[in-house]
Amino acid sequence: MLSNLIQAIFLGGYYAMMACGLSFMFSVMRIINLAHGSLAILSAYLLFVLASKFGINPFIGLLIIIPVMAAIGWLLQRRVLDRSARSGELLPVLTTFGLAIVLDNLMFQRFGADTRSLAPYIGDLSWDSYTLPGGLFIGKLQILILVTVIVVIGALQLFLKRTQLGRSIRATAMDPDTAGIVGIDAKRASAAAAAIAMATVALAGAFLGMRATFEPYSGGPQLLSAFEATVIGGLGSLWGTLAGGVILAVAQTLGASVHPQGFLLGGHVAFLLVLFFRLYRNREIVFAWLKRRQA
Amino acid sequence: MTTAFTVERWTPASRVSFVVIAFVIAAMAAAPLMLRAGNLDRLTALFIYIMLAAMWNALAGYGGLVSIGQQMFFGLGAYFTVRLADFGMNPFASTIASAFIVGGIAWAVSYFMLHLKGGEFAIGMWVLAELTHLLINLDRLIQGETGTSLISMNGYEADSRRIAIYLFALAAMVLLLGILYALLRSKSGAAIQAIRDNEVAAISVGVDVIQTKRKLFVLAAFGIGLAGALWLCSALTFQPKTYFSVQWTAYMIFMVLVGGIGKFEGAIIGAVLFFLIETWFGASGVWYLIGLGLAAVIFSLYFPKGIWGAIEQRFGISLLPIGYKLIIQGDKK
Amino acid sequence: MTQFVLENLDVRHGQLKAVKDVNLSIGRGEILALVGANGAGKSTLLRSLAGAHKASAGRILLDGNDISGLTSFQRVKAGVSLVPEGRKLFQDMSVEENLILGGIAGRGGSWTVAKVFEAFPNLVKRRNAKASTLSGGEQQATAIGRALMSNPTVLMLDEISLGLSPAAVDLVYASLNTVKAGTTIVLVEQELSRALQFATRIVCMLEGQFVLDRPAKAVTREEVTASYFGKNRGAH
Repeated sequence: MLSNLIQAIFLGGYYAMMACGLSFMFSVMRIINLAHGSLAILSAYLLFVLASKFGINPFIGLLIIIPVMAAIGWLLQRRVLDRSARSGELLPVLTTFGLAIVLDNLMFQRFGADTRSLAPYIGDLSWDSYTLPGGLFIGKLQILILVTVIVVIGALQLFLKRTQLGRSIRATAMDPDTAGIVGIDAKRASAAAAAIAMATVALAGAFLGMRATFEPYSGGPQLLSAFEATVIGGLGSLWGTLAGGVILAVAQTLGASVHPQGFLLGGHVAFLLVLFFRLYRNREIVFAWLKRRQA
Repeated sequence: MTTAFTVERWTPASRVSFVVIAFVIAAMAAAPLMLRAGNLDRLTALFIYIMLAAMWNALAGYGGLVSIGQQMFFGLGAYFTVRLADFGMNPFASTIASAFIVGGIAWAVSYFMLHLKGGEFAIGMWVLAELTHLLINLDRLIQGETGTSLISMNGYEADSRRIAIYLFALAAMVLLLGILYALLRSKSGAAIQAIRDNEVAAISVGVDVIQTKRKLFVLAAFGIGLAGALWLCSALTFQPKTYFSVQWTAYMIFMVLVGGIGKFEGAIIGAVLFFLIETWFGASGVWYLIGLGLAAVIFSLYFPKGIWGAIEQRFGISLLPIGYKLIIQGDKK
Repeated sequence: MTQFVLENLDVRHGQLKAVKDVNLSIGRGEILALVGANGAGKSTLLRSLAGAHKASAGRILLDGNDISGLTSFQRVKAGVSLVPEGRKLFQDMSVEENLILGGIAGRGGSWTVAKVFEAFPNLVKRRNAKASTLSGGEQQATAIGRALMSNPTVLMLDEISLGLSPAAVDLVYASLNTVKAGTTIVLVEQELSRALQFATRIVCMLEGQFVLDRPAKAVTREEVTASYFGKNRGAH
């Protein structure tokens, strides 16, 4: 059981890696990017092509793919999401959903239904592990992922707090109208935020490919677990997303120990429980609603 | 100096369209006398698509609730039909009962889901759909993804069964559209419009926002559940993966976005368009899906009002008398 | 020398014309007070000058250059800065962060965070406090400081006395007096006495149009009040 829980912590770290871009985009632009998962899968496929066709090690490949995905994020925000968000909060949901469908099926068209993996291209790292006293094994890759996500989140927080661009992004998120009045190029700030979010997505896709397998339609499930981790940890908080990822993974592990089909179920149940709890804490809303029913 | 005016609900165009609609329904009802089996099946599918589009439109276009999880009710509608039929209920009766059960579940679910906003609600419903899918898989009758069939339906002879399902679907569609139409013309309809235009203002004039949204949520679930049950009657097999696939929401989004979100006529146009595209291109595999997705993106960006919205704006016509028209004396409009 | 010129400016709120065919010429260093009843169109005018609200017709010229097509942040870069109605500070950020952000347009000039703290000494002890915890007067000082950080040549202030105690307003105007040298100022002010005291020119707005435009020294309180309500339309 202990070893399962330790694995859960590392799995949580992976969920947080996938989720932090989603959380970041939401807190900055109030947009939930439904194409988030599919874009991660795209990154994985791009790295796969670089590795299988050109023999480029995925870690080196990231040096190319991270800027590529950042550029895609920038373009996505400026050309698509900016326009879409102008018509209200709901349209970006539809636009990004359409985008996800297009991406998933384009990838299916190009790569077929086979599951792929980046594991063969990273050599020993995919299975190498440390042995702890007590016979516990911790994969080196797992540690790398967890360390990376902590570094990334820490760097993002510092960036947001200390740099002028980071401040602009926060200001734009709080009040885009006033941001412009003060001299901030709100469109550029949003595009930068999207680019940063996509850079993390590239990392997440890479890690997915290295620790597991992926296929063209993996985007949806990845989006869902990223979303669950984000919500459990509290929308808008990056460190919260890390905590949320770990809680999600632990809930899934507990679910699996209860029932063979219980892994995903455990996660969904945890998600709903957190929602219930939040609503209960906002019970003024519920009470006000009840009072109106009686009136 | 007051200007004399009257308030009318019916325009000449809407009177004409009502006659046309009645005629079309009668013609559709008589279709089994004239059409071949394959065409009857296709039309049944069209009726189901119209139901799905109208219901998703009711939720998103009128209620402002965008949900990526409506496939949950589609699957549940089919599931309960199978379950009830397994208990010995007549399959047609199971269909109807199942829709009511789905409506009840939606009513319960609405108590917490409706407190979610925007994107949270959208994906939250998707999570709920996935959860439901997983729970259904646990039912031993379903045997996980293997699924099962509506065996008792097989007891009926194929041709008369097909006609019965066709007429049933036609009736269900007309009924659902009728309920929606009545809802929109009623006080709730005005409330819906108010919420759509400005939720805060609506609250301030006493509109019970959550109750109004709940009505739409339950109606949409009922309608989609009924659609799922009907699909099962037609297809006979129940594989959870097919019914709970997010693909169904993709279809609904396409139909509503392209047809015209928030427009009654728009949902119907979108469904017919989708039906035609599916008939002609469905066999092209994923390119068809890519096309659907691209259309959704393009329409949401450049034609957010959809086809019907564009027509309405351009020509100023409104076929169904849902709104009010202010006629000022002396004005010839 | 004219610095800021408005030509036939029309600004709408949806269907309603808030600013109707307005013409104005402001010279460098002038301090213009825009007065008028609520809803007259003053804030809308300032916002459209700042680029936050698109004008439906007409032109805005700064030092001879047409800036009508520039977005709000571009106008800040050009030297036009607005202290918006309601202060609109970034609530989760500290005073210092708000100020630093004000300099983002990168115009260069004499204004720095240190100089702002000199002009508004009551902010020094609050420099790391979150904007949401500040008093009304402190918030107003921060908002003005934030605008000054962009080193504007035209500074616009919208209702800076709103919601503040008289003492706080005194403080704000005292600080403004020390900083106004050389900057062209356009301010919307409810309190007529303050406007008459601080400004060099009074313009009264009624239902989207200018009904009075006189040097502050050459007009009486009664005349201004009368034009508030439209009693002497056309008297210039």
